[in-house]
Amino acid sequence: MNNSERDWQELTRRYYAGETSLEEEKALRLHWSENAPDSAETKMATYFEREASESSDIDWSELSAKLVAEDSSFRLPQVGDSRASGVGSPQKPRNLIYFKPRFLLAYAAALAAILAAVFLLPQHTETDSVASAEGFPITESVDWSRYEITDPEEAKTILQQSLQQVANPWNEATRASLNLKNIQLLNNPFGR
Amino acid sequence: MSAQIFHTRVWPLRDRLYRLAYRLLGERTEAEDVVQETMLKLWEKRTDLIEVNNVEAWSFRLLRNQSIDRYRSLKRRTTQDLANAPEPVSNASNPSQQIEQKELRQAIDQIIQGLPEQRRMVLHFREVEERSYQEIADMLDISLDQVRIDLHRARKALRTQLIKNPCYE
Repeated sequence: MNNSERDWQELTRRYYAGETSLEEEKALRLHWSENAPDSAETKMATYFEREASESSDIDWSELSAKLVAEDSSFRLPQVGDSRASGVGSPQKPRNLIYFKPRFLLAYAAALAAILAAVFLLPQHTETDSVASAEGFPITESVDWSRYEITDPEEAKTILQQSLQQVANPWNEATRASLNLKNIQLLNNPFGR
Repeated sequence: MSAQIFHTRVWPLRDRLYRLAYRLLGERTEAEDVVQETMLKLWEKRTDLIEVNNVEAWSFRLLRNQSIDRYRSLKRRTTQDLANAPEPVSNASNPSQQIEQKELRQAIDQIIQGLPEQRRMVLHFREVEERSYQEIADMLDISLDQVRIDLHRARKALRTQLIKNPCYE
């Protein structure tokens, strides 16, 4: 078995474990259809592909008539109406803002980390960020949702570390100030 | 404003709501009725849409509840009417291939219908709607881990059934 086959097997294993990204799943479907057209995986992929692409063939005018009867302000979307052009092109949902307690710590940790990064890390120029984005195109295919913090304990630890990181320079400054005061006292013990 | 939100963000969802309703109920006419009921409810509640963060997830949840109510009132699980379903558009070149594809489709439909409701929905959102794990978790109000577990079990069950039963080959 060569490395490539091993990679596909590993990707298939991750697919069944629910660990693959959407891009990886697309690649897998293509791989299965080309290399194992009679496999269960190809059958599943073909089925889902058709389900996704098929229109329902339902005459929605009956529903719109009902809606008009309910309220005259309802109107059927017109042809060429840009607001109605979402038909068939699914809208991606906006990110939900959670106020559940278990997410509050995670958001607090993320906020603290961002603040720490803004104050402590050197500022990148625009050219740097463009170059890094071009240098690492692989980041586009990463499923970042896998790394989201959902464990309150982990969030708490990260928050503590971030706050400690922010606090360290301040403690350093306090120590330096005390040292300076001590030196001044040594140089001038009677405060004259 | 609320009517505009309905027109731009709810009305375009109707085909996708129908697909999910069909996945949940396993019968086309029932699914169509549930989508109509859901749409009417969403229209009645259109003033609330302004307050809703994720209209799509909200619509899917309402449809799910309507489907469960409908399913309970029917007190039966329907997979038989699939035989009466409209002929799907097929890419198969010859009649025997078309028959094979139709049979395979019905077989997979039946296997999926046999899965528990949540597993069916997770599989649908991932494989048909191509949603991220996080989006699925949001829509179904379950954890990311639960999404992965349900997806794993659904895919495994589908594969096992397809391999085990020779008539699906």
